[in-house]
Amino acid sequence: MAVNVKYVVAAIVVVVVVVAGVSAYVLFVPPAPETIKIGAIGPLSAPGAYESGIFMRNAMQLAVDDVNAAGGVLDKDLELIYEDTAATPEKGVAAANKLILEDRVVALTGEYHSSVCNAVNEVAEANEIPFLVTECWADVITEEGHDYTFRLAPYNSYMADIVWVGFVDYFNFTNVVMLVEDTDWGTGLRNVLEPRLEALGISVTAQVVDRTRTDFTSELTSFQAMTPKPDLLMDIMTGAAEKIIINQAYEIGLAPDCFIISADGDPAYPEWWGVVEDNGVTVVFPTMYSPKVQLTDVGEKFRTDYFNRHGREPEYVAMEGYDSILVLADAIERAGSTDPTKIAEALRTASVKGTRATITFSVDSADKGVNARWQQWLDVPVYLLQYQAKGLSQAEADVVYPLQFKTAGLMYPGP
Amino acid sequence: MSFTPEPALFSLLLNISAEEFLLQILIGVIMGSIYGLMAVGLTLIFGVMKVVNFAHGELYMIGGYSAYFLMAVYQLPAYLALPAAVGIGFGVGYGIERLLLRPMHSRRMERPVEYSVIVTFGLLILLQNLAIVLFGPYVRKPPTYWEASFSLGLINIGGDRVFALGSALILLTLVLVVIKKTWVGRALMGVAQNKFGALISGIDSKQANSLAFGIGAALAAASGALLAPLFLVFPDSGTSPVVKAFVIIVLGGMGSIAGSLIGGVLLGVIESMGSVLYSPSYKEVYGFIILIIVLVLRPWGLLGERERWA
Repeated sequence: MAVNVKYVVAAIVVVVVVVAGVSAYVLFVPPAPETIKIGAIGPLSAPGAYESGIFMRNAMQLAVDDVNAAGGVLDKDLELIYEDTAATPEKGVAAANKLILEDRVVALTGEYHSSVCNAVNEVAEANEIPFLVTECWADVITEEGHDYTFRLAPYNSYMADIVWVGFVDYFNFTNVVMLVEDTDWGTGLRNVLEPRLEALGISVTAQVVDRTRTDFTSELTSFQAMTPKPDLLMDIMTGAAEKIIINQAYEIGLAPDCFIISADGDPAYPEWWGVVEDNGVTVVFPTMYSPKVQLTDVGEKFRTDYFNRHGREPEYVAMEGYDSILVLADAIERAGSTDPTKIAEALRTASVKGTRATITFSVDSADKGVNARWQQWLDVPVYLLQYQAKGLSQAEADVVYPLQFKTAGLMYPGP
Repeated sequence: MSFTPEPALFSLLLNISAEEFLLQILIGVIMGSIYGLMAVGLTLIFGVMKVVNFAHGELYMIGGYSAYFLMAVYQLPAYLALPAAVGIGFGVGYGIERLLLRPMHSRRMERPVEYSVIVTFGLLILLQNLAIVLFGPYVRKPPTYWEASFSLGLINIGGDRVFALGSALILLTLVLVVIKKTWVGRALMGVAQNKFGALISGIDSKQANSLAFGIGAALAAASGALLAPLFLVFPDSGTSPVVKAFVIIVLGGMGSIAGSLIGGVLLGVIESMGSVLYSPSYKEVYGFIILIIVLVLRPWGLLGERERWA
């Protein structure tokens, strides 16, 4: 068989060029500096609350940039690898496994949906990797007593005890109706609220609904038909459904006679007014920070930097995301190592000035496997805010509860 | 002689008042009629092209965003924005058929059904995520169409809901007239009934496919635009309505336009009544229970046609 010499020469030239190129790259291009990888998870796509997932990611990246600008950790830069969970536990587990086994992260953090946190904490435990929960509220996440799960978000029974029950009782609401999303957070909050309110003689009627639904007129009509009529609607939903319920309560005439609470913090987002318009005035909602009350110097700097980078006030989720990275960076530094077990040990003794207060974790062994206080930040600042005029920003909203922080009395809707 | 439910007995049997019972039925009829509009588009596409369009909810979402941007950002009045949103839906649907679905009719395509499933499912994911990137993750609301409130005794019904219902009924009537009375409609029916027979009669089936997908997409976009002030606009806003649309077209009979309307009303009433008589937690389940019963007893749906074997 005759071989064309031209083809042979061309092949040799190609091989020589490729080998020379690869060699030059290896010899002359410096290797990427070694980084310490932190794995983050959160919703970036449907059916997750991707809005909050994006805010969380933005703030975490800002924290990583700030830490690196200040010299990094253990003389290395931090690297954030953020994976989408879409509010789906199996996707959360897959993301956590990928981060741990493939990316070799030294710690996990993030997430907004309790059902995902409740699955990922098992992965973290099995792999002995610390998981710092950023914004999942279901009690069960820390109640199970895992050694590697920590939380700097509030938890449902804390919210019930610190704000909700006191608020409902103090303002003399007697007939409460709830629309509750069918998630670990929603049903968990209902489960801790219902007995506490009923113990005070307050009537509670709760209906659990799918969080992806868009029409709630049937349920609101049944509330409207109740005798005596409800005086408080607790909207225990997230995302679009939370706002749709408020609009539909006004549409059918349940509001303004029935006062509305949004148990989620989404009203803090500036998009609120474009969606609920006049109906958003007087709705009471929780938030984990209020510029009117308490913000550390770290928080003030973060607020400015976040605004400069993203053109908006930081959401509470962003505050929590920023704090999560600060706490992990501190733990790695104090551990003096990237060994996950040592990082977990350092987290148990953490005392880090965050955006809103100093963050520590309770490690009372009496709580372990008994209640949600285990490895939980027990002093999360929580306020109930109310917009007393249309178009206000979160920074302009008034604190109406707890009473020691209040900046205005409660305003009731309607004429 | 008119029937008036005896209030005490009624309340005892159903645990709700007669007034609430009638209101719940009315709410179901209203919502079912509106969902029927979206289902008609889905069934038209299936009837003509034999394609199950998994991205139908995203066409609904595009209608919602179109209404939002045209009205809230570009300040167009509703009477211009709504037809424009429908036109955008038609254009997007027509383009999708020409660019992505036309190859399934190529003779070289071995598995056209599987191809269409993969393409429309891929579109679902692509369009949802594209919306997050292009429009942001935020929930939006276009201006109200009709600032009004109608008292029904116990509750009120907002002007937007009445407007959506009225528009849906007008559009459904228009679709029926076009399908039954015009040459274009008859051509679509012809392709739906027998593609090769239609070809022999001189009907361009490829053009019919593009038109059917365009009209189906326009109806989805119309639903999205009409419901946007009520159910808001966000990247996955089409997910919940499209599930209902699938239930409706199977209930009513795949390919049957009248069946879609009846299926829609039936689903609306079942969901509404199930929610108040048993539990709202299973609202999505009630429709599927009825669907399973219909599939067991009448697999071709309420108004669908049995498959004919040669």
